[in-house]
Amino acid sequence: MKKRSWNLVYGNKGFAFILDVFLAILLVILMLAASNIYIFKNTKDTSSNLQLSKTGSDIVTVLDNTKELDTLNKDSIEDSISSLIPENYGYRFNISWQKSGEQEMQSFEIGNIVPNDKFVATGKKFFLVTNTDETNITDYGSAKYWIWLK
Amino acid sequence: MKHRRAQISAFDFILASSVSVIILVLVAATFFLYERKINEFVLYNDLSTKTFQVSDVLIKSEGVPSNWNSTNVNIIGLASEDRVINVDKLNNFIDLSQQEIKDKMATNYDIYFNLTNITGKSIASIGNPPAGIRSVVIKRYVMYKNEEAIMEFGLWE
Repeated sequence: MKKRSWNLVYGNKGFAFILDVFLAILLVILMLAASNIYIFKNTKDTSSNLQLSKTGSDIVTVLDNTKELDTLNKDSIEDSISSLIPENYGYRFNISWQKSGEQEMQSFEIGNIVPNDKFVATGKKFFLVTNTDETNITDYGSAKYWIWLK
Repeated sequence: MKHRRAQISAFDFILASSVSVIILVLVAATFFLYERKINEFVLYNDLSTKTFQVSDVLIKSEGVPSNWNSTNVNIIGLASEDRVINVDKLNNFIDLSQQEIKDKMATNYDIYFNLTNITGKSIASIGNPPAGIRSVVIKRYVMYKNEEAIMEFGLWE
């Protein structure tokens, strides 16, 4: 028995808009991929970076409290930093100072070269160097630090 | 009167419906998956922020009132000056119960506090090391009795 043909423009044959389907799927996949990337980037744990920052601030403050910075001695300060800082941390310290009443700045640096391919916590603390009975300020100093995870 | 007939492309309709359903399922699955992930991130972020903030108050602040003890404390601070732990305040802190500490810190998280010297010998300790589903523990460098010390502070649940 012959199948009756519909009396329509294209008979009984349908057609699928394959290109439309493909474009629609592509758009949805692109949107899902973009949202995945966005969520992945913004839900990273940042507490380790904050820990780095706090460690740097704490170490510089402790060096100031122990009057280690007042020595302005590179070897002594380097030994103190090495005894405090965790082994898995890289660091660089810049100690600068200026004698009271003078213009000339002196400085030295301790530690490794600061990397540029990872997060580096940085900060600066100002300190005063006084004489033995703390009646006069002899030097105005600053300690700048960079700390990163090795 | 001429009847007009519409044309339904059945195959096209089925194909389009199938694709739509698949896409809707993908979107719904992605939504629920990332809603859970984002909620977890928000909770962890809250825990992390509180841990850092409370540790800052402990080691930088004298507390309120500045000569607080276990009966009149409003805000707990252990410092006599920035990052210098006061012996009496530390003793008062240890005398507080865990619930009192949580109330004063305005947190429901469990607390872990451990003060050690540089070699790791324990000086004072409160609470148990974290053993929950979510925890943040941080290390802060301080001075105690003119010696360098390490304060570990953590919140967990």
